[in-house]
Amino acid sequence: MNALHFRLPTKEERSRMSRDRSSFSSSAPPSRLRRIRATLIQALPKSRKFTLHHSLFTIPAAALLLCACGQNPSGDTRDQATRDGILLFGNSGEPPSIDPHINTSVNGSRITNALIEGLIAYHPTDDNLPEPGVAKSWTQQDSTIWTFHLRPEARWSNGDPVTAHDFVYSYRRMLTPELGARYAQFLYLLKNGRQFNDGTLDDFSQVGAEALEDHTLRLTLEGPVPHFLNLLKHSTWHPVHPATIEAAGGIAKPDSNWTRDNYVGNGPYVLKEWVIGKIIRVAKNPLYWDAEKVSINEIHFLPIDDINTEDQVFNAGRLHYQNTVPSDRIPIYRKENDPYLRMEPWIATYYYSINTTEPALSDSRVRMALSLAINRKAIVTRVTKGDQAIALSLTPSGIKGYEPPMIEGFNPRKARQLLAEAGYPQGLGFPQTTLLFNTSEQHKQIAEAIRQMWKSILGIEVDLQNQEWKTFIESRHNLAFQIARNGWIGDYVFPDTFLSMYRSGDGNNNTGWGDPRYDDLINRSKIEPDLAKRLKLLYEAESILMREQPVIPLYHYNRIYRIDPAVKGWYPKLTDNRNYKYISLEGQQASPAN
Amino acid sequence: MLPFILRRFAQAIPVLLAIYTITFFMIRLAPGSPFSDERKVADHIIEAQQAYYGYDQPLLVQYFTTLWQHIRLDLPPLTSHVGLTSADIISESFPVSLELGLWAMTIALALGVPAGILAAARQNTWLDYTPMSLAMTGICLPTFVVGPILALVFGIWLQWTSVAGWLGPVDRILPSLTLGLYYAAYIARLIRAGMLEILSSDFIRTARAKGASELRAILVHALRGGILPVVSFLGPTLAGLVTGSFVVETIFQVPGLGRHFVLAALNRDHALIMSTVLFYASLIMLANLVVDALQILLNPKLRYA
Amino acid sequence: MNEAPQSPWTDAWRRMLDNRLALCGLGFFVFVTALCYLGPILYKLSPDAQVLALESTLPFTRANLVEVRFDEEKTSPDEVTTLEDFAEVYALDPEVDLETLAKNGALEIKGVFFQTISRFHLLGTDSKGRDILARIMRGGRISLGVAFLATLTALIIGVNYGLVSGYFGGRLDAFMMRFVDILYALPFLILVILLMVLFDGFHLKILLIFIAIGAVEWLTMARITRGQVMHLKEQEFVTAARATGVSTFSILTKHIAPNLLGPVIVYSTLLVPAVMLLESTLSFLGLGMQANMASWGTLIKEGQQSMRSAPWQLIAPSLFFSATLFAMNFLGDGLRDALDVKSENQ
Repeated sequence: MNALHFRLPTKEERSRMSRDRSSFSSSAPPSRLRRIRATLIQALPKSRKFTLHHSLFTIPAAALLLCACGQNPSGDTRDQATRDGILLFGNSGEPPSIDPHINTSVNGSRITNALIEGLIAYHPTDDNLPEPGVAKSWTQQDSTIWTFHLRPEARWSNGDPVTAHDFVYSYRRMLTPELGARYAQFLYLLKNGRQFNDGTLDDFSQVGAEALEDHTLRLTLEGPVPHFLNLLKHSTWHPVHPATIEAAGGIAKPDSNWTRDNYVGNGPYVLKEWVIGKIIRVAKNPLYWDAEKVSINEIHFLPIDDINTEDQVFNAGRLHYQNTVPSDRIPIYRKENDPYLRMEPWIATYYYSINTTEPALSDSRVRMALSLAINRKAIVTRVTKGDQAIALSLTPSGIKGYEPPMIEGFNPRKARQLLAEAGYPQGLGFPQTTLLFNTSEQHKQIAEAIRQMWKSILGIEVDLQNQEWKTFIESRHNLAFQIARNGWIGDYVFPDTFLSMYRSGDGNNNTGWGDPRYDDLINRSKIEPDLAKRLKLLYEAESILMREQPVIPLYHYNRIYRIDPAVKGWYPKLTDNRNYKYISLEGQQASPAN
Repeated sequence: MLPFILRRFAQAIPVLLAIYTITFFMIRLAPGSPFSDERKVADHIIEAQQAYYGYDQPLLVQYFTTLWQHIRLDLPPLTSHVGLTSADIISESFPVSLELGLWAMTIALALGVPAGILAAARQNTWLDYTPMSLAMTGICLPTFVVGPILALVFGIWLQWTSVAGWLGPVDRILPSLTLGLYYAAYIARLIRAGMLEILSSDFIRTARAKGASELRAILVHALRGGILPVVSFLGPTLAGLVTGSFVVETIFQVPGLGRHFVLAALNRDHALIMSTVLFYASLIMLANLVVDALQILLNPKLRYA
Repeated sequence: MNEAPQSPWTDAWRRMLDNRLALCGLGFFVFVTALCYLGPILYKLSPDAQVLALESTLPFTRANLVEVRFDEEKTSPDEVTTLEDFAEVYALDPEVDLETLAKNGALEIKGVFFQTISRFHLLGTDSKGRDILARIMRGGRISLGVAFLATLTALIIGVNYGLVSGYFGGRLDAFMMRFVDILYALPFLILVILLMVLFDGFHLKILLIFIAIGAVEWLTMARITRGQVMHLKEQEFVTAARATGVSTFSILTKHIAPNLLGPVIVYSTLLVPAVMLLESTLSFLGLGMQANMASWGTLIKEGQQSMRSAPWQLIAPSLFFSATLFAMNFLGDGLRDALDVKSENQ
């Protein structure tokens, strides 16, 4: 009865669903709701409200299913895959590259994390903690000079040992100007890294990466970085196999074909198959130093880019992991108590950037008024519906030792008052303003809701404009907008991944805003050796940013996905980066090879 | 026949050149670049990337370099699939689109031809109105509505088919059906119109008068004439099926060429856009040539026209 | 073939009246157009007014709502919400407050002012509490508008091109028709997509859409016109006019053009649905209208996404869209049968 396994609600579930229909909201306690409901029914003519229409279809469908349950489509079902130890992973689209130094996409990094292991690996449960990877131990001086002792048993998938020289080679590759690695700036932490990358320094031996012995690596940084171990988890710091790179066109070839022809990695998995638009198949790496800990035999990354299609594929029992849940499905799954749905905090913020070079928007009172007129709670409960935390700061909470400064939330009176002070009472005389976002159903819905709030509370008419992604980011970088949708996912767990970019003139500032005090605080934080003091400086900086509000934070993203409960060892993580060797499938049958 | 084909090939060259030129300048005029991304990076990195992919040259030089590369079929590297060229993408995804197109065409003919014959044979009865109304519905409902509904009904509720993907034979059913239904409707209408014209003509009347059975009159005499418009419709349609299937490819996660084209445009992968546009244009011209050649072969009167 | 060119119109009209399907098509089309353009005069709900707390409601729903004002003198409400939401968010004691509100129709709590209103939603509301019928009426104006403008573009280019090519014939005709053949070989849909993606930031994108679509669709129009003109120019009334020294321009405009009306109308009625379908496909790919211009294609796409939770959001716009296409196709077929001289002679 595999065919029945997945989603059709049982009779009991159906009756629960129809009962659920009478409640209005899942957040208030049920007894209070019942009382409200009773009052409503007495006081008013019945208002017909319908939120769920599922059961309408289930009856004929169930009847038809009786005739069909004998037939089972071919291909891998989730249960069969579980028994075979195969993780079916929805990966939302084809990665442009799985070269750890070239790739900049999230779906690409999910694959490189399986194929390559850095000095420090992702911790299975807590992103604030380091998990030893190729480095088995390390020492540091003033958090500026770091010495890593590599484990001698670490091997590349072709049998070569992983050495400190490989890491030095990899950092040289990442910083080679001709390679044009987009995230080379991550390695600017290394002494002279920036100079080597921008071509002002030719001699790599002056860069702070040195192999003291075959298995001892010393990294000298530009200044103290107390949270350096967290940064080392990023794939830009991952090693590549030098001989393979040299054979595939050399250190400076950006599109060398080694990732497709001959992927030599050192991670828990090796690349087996890559068919564009269809599948990336990775299998257990027998030469991995910790191979006995790796449980799952194969991971199939399926590049399903249409989120509704991915949802249907999951519902048809063909995925263990569904990367994105369409926003209109979220309340349905929540109401059904879907056993697969997970909603977990993510180190990411959804916000609006304001072009402060626009005359009307250069006034911080106007920006604050816009922010105060937004009912964030309504957006989160009625539009995104994913249980997201409302954002009153740019940095999300959850970073160890950092509680961000908060702005004031919804306050229509104060919003109107500030707008009047700025010279636009009841929105009169406010210039024509456009809210720009990239084409997507969810961005549109949020923009429409906020447009309505600004209109009814402030009396400001805002035009909506959507642009396709590449056009949009160009407009945003060039300040060719007035208010633009923005979102930022932290690269690592530290506040400056959000705050650094608001220094004046930073390439990702995108607001035209700048404040010398802010720049000074950020710059001082970067050289502050003491972690607590560093966080204090960042707190002060964020307080300025939130007072000036060149950005209006709206909500902190949740990672909303669905996963089969058979997948074990998959914990909520702020960065959503996984260490696959800790993940297992319950119900996997021991393979004869083991 | 040979001079005709040679002439058509000669005509194709300026057409392809014109298409190349229009597309080249259109994509270069557009906002956004293959090297732009949400995170802005240092200028020297962008410059390094531009230098590698040949964007540091003057535009006209790039125009001729790319043109020469396409003439020699030595295609430039892609930016959205690092390490590959358009040739890899096309050779991997075109067979998929072709297969989808052929299945869809099979379904379209299997459903459309009988429906059309039935409708024509029983004109103005419910046997005519029902299939013709269904056909009209098929034409009027957008594919992106039909597709998900079919997936919901057959894939999720009934579990007869898979809902997406292109791995096993089961995965072929829904995309082919979604794409085929639309064309089945067209074919049914064409057959009906063609057959009605012939059924009212003199030679059918003669055949009937001579005592040929109704079935024979319809199937042997009328169908032969009625199917002609369909034959001439098939060539361009097959090309259209193969090129126009990107909606179906998106809904059902089919790794075909149509999706690559749309994604290439969204990613500003200029090399891939260029190659796919030229490939499609050649395909359409080839299909038109085959159809025209067939028509000349089948209909001697046209030969001297 | 000697009948005067004007007389087929009465015949055609008679044949048209016999064709019930075509008449129904015409009737429905007139109804939809009137609904979209004149409907908002009677049905005054705004297509943009959201009531977030209301979410999706079934058709024929009367929604009881609360207007929230943070300043008493403010004319327009700061927020419109549902009674449930009021009870949960604003009310101090939900039972008492709801009762008072129901009795008086107005209430003040801690300086915030509440007033009850009620709205009737004929086709229900979408997930943001917006009235679906109002959105369909506005979407129809956009879809029909784009379709008409694109068809008009195709008409103007195609008819003039075919007229010149067919009338003057000879080498000019050969050259012009060769050009049309070449354009037929262009992967036009792909170029339209390219155009839509690449000139996305363009403010008057709606203009671009119908120009692009018109540019795709004029080719067939040119061929049809040319064939008709070649046939007409051999007719006696044209040769007679030419013999009496009437200028070419007059012949084209006064004698030939009026006789083109039949096929042009037929083809146009078939073109309008084709354009609407194309526009909806572009909307599906996210390349259609701007966000504040929800065409039928956009509405169908939105509805398709909530297909399983609120199917009427897909059904209502799809019904209007498909029925209009249906009507236009039947009308076009009927007109073709009615105006086609050839089929009558057989």
